[in-house]
Amino acid sequence: MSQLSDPERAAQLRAVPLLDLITRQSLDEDYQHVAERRAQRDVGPASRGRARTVPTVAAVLVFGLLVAVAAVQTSRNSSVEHASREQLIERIDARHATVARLQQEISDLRATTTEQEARYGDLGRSLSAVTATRRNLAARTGWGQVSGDGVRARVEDAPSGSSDGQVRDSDLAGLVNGLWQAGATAIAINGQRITTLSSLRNSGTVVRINEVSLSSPYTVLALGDTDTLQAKFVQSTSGVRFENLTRTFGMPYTMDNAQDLTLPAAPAWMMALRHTSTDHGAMKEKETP
Amino acid sequence: MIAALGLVVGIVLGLIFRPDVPTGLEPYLPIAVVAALDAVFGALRAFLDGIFDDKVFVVSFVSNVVIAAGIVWMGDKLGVGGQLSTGVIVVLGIRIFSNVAAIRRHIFHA
Repeated sequence: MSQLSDPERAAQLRAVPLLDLITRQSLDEDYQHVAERRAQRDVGPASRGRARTVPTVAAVLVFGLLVAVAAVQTSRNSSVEHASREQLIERIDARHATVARLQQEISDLRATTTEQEARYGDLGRSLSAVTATRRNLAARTGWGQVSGDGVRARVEDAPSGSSDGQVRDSDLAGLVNGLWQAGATAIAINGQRITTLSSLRNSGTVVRINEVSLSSPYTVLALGDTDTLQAKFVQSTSGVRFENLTRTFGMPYTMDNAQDLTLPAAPAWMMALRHTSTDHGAMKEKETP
Repeated sequence: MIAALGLVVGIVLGLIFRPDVPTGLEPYLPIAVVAALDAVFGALRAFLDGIFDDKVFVVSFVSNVVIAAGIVWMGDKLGVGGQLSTGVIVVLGIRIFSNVAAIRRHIFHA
């Protein structure tokens, strides 16, 4: 701007007031210095390469970025900064109320959870009790496979071959009844489980049970107390009668204690529920197989 | 022309990405923007005067931003941040005004 020499300019700067000085120096003096130096070296501004505009553009780009970020930040903060004290207190109170409500909800839900957990525990206990009962019942009634210690009885037709010497349904029924009386918990003949619905029936020369034909020799497995089962069997009426029968007609017959016997469940078609009533007795259901 | 394009691209980038300013730097951002504005108007005036130099521009841009933010930061540490930022704004504002006046004289030849 002013083409004064350095000492002159310094003297002038000292003299002016501050605001005046700022106004006068508003253009960076460096531009002036560089322009003067360039003029001395006789290098024109036209010699500047295109590549040297890159820093300028980068600086301007950064400037734009700064402006945008500052504007975004300001607008983002304005909702908080412009809200009055009362509004802010109101907002805080509203949030406090929400928090209190949510905490109340949490404690309610916790109480519900505890209650439900207690009920779940009760249900689990009664479920295991019912499952145990069911298992016992299934073992008793022949609806489930059972295993344990017991006795193995073997009887076959008399070697003489006479029709009297053949084992009949009533003979096997006597044997089974005797074993029941002796305290057997589960009985199977030749792998056919005896249930309350099973019937022993003669069909010609073969014995049928659970609608399955059996033939001699007959192996009767019975679960029960191995210490007392045989003794009680021979004392029972059916047992005495059966022993007499085998002796009279010469049927080979043995009965031994056996360990780890496994009795199968009754066939599936027998397990169809025919009639049942609930414990309360209030409701009765009938189901056709 | 290219510089104007750079400005637009910068603004668009800032609006698109909306970068989060760290809380510690947040108070110094407006001061930095005003300082940068001063550097830009100074450069524009120098350009119209025909003595623009990109090196001087970049150096004055960076140093303006850093010094302005640094002064306010130091003022914050000393407990006079508000006053110092007012002082910086006044000085930079006067410079911007006189630079803009010079630019106006160039454009309208008045």
